Amino acid sequence: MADLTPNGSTGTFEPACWMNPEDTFNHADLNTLAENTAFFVQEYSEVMSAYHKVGIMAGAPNRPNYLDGDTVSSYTFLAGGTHQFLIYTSQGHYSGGKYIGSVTIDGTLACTFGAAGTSSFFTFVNTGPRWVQTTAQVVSFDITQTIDNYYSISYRRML
Amino acid sequence: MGDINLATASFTSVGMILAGTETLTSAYGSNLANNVGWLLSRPISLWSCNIPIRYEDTKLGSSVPIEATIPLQTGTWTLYYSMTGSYNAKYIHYGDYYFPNISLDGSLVVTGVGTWVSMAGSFTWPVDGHKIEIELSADDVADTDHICGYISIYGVRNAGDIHT
Repeated sequence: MADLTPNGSTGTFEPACWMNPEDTFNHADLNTLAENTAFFVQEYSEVMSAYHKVGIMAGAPNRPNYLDGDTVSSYTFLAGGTHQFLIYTSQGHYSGGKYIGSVTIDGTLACTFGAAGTSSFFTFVNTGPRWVQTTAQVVSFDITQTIDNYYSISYRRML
Repeated sequence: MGDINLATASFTSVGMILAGTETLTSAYGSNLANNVGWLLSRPISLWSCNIPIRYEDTKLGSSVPIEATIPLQTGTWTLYYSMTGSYNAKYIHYGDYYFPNISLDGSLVVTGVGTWVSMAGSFTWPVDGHKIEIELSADDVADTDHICGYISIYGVRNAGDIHT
């Protein structure tokens, strides 16, 4: 017998798995059911979906003043084991673009981003069921600007 | 035969693709059923809301109350919530900062007003009519208080509670 590989490929879902009473039930039908369950393992769960607008005023050298909070974060109760995070950031209409952005997961840097945005994977191994914090932060250059970003961060279990 | 237990269901990958000559066993069937149960027991992201931490926002211009109706299958759920907020040393701020209160279906479930330390927790909630009504609010706060933060809620089905 072979193994399912829920995270080994993009996977497929086969809708043709309904048995009519006159159909013969065979191994192929069971394998279709098993592969269908593996397909759903690939779904992502969201940890953060946010619009983040930050007004900046130039200040003392290299110390700009922030008119808005520089971070957006959330806590998620994660099961133990390996999780794959997918991080998307993009800029909005106002964004000045002169900043360094970062995403940290459980205190570890997952990726950085800037004006071009990012599409990044990050593998996180959780030692046990517990709350895990995900944080998106922008550090502005010392200029007057408005930064506005969109964040979409999700995870899925790796089996 | 027994029922799927969402609290204990696990996902089995090993040996789940049968060769044509292999025998279907009860263990295989149990694994297949538990795979479905495990999928059903995963957290579902329900709602999130980022109330900006903005210096000009006072209660007079507050973003709360915020109301939303979320579709959720009837049954008993464990709901997880997170409320976070912070700003750096160069943030121009005045007044006090608080999270909102969270109410579900008209009942207060989380008191955020008066707190700015990030908070997260869970509680059991019965869902009826395939929906929950969420409200973020703040009463009896000063006009210079700021009600803000990132609020997220997700749900996990309770063990053995599977409704059609």
